[in-house]
Amino acid sequence: MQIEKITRQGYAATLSKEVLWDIYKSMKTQRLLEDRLLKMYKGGQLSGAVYPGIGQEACMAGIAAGMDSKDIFGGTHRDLGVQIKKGVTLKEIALNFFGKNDGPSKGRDGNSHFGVVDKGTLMVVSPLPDSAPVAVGWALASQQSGTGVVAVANCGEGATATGTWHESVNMAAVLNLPVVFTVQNNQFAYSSPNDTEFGTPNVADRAAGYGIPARIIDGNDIYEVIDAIHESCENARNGNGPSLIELVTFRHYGHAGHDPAEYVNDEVREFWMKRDPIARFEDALLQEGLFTTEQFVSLSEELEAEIKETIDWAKNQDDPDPKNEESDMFADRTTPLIENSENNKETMNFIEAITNGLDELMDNDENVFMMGEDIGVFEGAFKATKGLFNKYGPFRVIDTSISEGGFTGAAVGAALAGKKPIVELQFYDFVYPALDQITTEAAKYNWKAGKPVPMVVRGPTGAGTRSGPFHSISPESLLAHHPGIKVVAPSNPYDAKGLLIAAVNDPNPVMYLEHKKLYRKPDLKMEVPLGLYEVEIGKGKIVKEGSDLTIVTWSGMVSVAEQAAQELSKDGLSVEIIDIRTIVPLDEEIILNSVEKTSNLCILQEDVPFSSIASEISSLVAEKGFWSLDNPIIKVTPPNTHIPFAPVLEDAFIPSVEKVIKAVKELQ
Amino acid sequence: MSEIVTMPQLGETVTEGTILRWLVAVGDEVKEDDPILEISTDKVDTEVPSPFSGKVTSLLVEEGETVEVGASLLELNGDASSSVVDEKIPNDIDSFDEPTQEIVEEIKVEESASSPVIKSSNIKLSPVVRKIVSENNLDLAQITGTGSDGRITRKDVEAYMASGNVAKKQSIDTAVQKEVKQKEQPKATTGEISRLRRRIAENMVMSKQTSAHVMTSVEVDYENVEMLRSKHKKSFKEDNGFSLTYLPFISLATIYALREHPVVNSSFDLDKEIHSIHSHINLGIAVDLNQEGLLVGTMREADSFSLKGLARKISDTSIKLREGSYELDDVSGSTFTISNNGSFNSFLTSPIINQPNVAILSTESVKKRPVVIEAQDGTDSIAIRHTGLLSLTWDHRVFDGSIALLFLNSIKEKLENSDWSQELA
Ligand SMILES: Cc1ncc(C[n+]2csc(CCOP(=O)(O)OP(=O)(O)O)c2C)c(N)n1
Ligand SMILES: [Mg+2]
Repeated sequence: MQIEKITRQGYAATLSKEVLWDIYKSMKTQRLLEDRLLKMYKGGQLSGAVYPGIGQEACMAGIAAGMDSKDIFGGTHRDLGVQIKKGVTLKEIALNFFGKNDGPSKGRDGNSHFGVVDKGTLMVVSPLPDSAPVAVGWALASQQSGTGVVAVANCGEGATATGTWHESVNMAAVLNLPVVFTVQNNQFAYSSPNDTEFGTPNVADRAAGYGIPARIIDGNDIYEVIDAIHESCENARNGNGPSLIELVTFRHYGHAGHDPAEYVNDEVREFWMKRDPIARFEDALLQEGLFTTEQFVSLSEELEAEIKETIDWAKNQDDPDPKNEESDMFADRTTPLIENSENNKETMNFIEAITNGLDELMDNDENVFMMGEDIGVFEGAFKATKGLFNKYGPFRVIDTSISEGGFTGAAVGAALAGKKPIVELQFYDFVYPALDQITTEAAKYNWKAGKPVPMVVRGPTGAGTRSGPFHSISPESLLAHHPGIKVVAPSNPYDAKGLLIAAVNDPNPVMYLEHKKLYRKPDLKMEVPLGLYEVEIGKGKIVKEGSDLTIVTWSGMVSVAEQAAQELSKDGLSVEIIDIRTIVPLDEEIILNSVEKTSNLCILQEDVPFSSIASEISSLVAEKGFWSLDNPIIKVTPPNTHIPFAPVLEDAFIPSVEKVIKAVKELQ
Repeated sequence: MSEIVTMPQLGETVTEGTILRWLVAVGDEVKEDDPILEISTDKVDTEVPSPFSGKVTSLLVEEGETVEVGASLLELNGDASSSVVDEKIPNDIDSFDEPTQEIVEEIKVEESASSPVIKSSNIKLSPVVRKIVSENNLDLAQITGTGSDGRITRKDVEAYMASGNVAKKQSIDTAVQKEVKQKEQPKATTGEISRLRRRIAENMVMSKQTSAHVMTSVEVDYENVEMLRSKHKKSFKEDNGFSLTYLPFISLATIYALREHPVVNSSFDLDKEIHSIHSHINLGIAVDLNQEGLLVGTMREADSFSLKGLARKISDTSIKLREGSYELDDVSGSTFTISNNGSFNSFLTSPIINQPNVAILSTESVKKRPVVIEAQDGTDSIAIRHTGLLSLTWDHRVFDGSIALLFLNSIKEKLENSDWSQELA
């Protein structure tokens, strides 16, 4: 078969013989390893999946070789070759494929779905291309700190059709971030050819829509790939912003081990086999007289032996212990809780306490920064960032595009790079597009990649402001259902500031819910200490002691509970009110102790009832506090509907003092 | 109009009963007072007379089933095509000295307030109430419910416990306890003997080695006492917070008999050759400490008490002893002792004398039994009467059988014939 020739040019022309051998070796390793894994998979000796990148070795090795070693790579299932060239070992790979305890994901995810952050590869997850915003965030941190790190965000051509990819490229372009977007166009997305994925002739044509430069290169020419990647990386490193490279290539096998790829016709296959990247590289190396065929053959033999040996070794390593199933959900906080040491106090309302907390956090630690829509010059839709843009500037109070998924994912990347990002959602209703990043990336990083993600997502929640169904949700159960994130919901200015500081100092993702009705509630004004102090996450508070009935509540409903308690006391009923303050982790003890004392429980929440925190607390008490109960548990919640606009409807929707009293009295 | 016959309460502490045998079948016509089924409770086995006349339309429980007091047993005059129970209740029930009819009164409340589904287990207890009741071994019948539908709330139990008149349940386990008991396999264990157990053991053996024990018993017809008791049962409980049992009656009769036979109220020390006849009657009552030991509580100068006073004193004494809040005076110095084995459903007991007493009386369970009654004109008839044995273990060193029987018969005579209605008015 006639082979298409390649020649060294540009940066590739400067590489030493040793560097070229290393690149060749990594391409060969990828091919032989994936070949072995495919055979094992087809022979029933490997569970899970294999996504062979055979045929794309020049893209993989070339991307890694064009990057600086400190640069970060965010890729997909296909990119084992990049990980190999970035320094991930055969042992690490084999352990992950066999789900072993010492593997990079500790057996929590299989095959190529892992990253080794310390070697510059971000955690690989299935949802595509979810590491892209994370890579963008890492680049943002690099821009802020001037570390000169470039992030390469890679995916297949199919994944460029997602909103996630669009938001990532758009954000990087708007913020002029050091990111190189690489797209390995291997002709198919699973079984789908290019014309079913995008309307432009090329993926690269899309760059014009973001205002960034792009080029299309031969992904099977190792020299061209190295040179193009290197150039784009250096441009980005020099502050010239992001660019896009489309690497045209071909996948020799199907999407995964099970897929015979019958949708690929013979002509296409023949065209591409002539351009096999390894054969072309070998040909060029021989032409230059750098290496001999014998050297290629003996390397193959060595690698095959090493691969076999490593796989046999990995199979016999320890499996993860199911006893540790629940470990690593959260990273442990190592610093002590900051006590309130300042004697200086100021009367603040709820939102002033939040602004004051943000200000002191940013003042205290330059790694703390904020991202969100209209939070800069405009100071936020609710003015929570009042004065902060003027004080800390555009690199720490960042106005973002309308890209909730994009900037929430970017917060994950920035956090991994050592920052403490605080994301503001203009309304918590818009957490839905961000949920993918919160649950896929933020919530799973510590569990699956051993890297804590200290970030806060804050924003206004709750109904009562005639804002209708899309500016009023109480998202606590929506969030709490996902393991790996903490959820806090303060009810007064003191707790608001203390919990905000604790949230930012927590090594885990914390969802910080601000009931917008509390922001400027006049009777909620109180003296708040100046200076940093924390309210411990996971600890509820007895707002009022009582002996006959416990009302468990939080956020906007605490004051409703207080008024109801006052009314009920006129009938001789002594109500204890617990403000749980933190939804996750829940302070079970304070609830159970109170129910043990009063024997009666009412849970009051503004969130809709089905599958909610009220149900959760009710189930907790039924399971662990059953023998304390003297009456059925009462839940006072809105109806299970969306939040309506019309004032009469909204008023009827939100649990009122009267509703609480009625529910309690019906029990007595 | 359909009628429902429910499980009668055949004793103070009875909470459930087992259906031994149906004496009627669906389709039978029964007349008021006709026996309709045999039931067995932990107090009695008895035939239940029908409180109404009518045609049996459905049997609601099966033979062998154990149901709670108040549970529906049988339906009369029901609409065969529907299982809906007529909510109306009979209003022709006015006599209340028959226990079965008293239960019917309770049904009134039940039926009008609850759905047919709830009828089979009429007593709803919350988890916390179950827990407190079982931990403290309380008798639910003693607690007044103030919750909806008369449900007993935690506050009710706490108020009851705070009242000081706490009567502990003895033989009846709650459903929960029973379940636990059935599930738990007894484990083989070895442990030290408690001080109390040691003291009991030593006293028992010492007594057996000291006295010449003889047991003698008589049969008592309690109908007189039973009439009075059932008549005042309700008001007594309301006024006093605890139930009127047979024991105060027997104690009072015993005190009278001791006065007539002072030698039974004496101490006898053969070594010192001293026989002391006591001037006062310090009545000892054996109190079972919830199966964890036995103490004799002393009611000093019991001969100065009225029937009501005695009843209260007995109740107070047993609470004190069970709670462990007694002083030495409360458990020493008795001159004669009563052991209330009837409360544990005994037939006949031969108790060991509580030294240095010279006799001990055992009350045995009271049960309805057929009795031949001779009318004034000499004609005989068979009646169902509440009867039970009284047995006396006495020290043959001190006196002989004649005194024992004169004494016993004196008690019997007082129980059968005394008019105590004034005492209870
Ligand atoms: C958001 C999302 N949707 C669907 C999938 C399922 N899926 C996995 S790989 C794949 C095809 C990806 O094609 P492409 O982006 O071209 O990458 P390639 O596999 O060709 O490298 C699909 C649809 C996924 N992982 N994530
Ligand atoms: Mg593809």
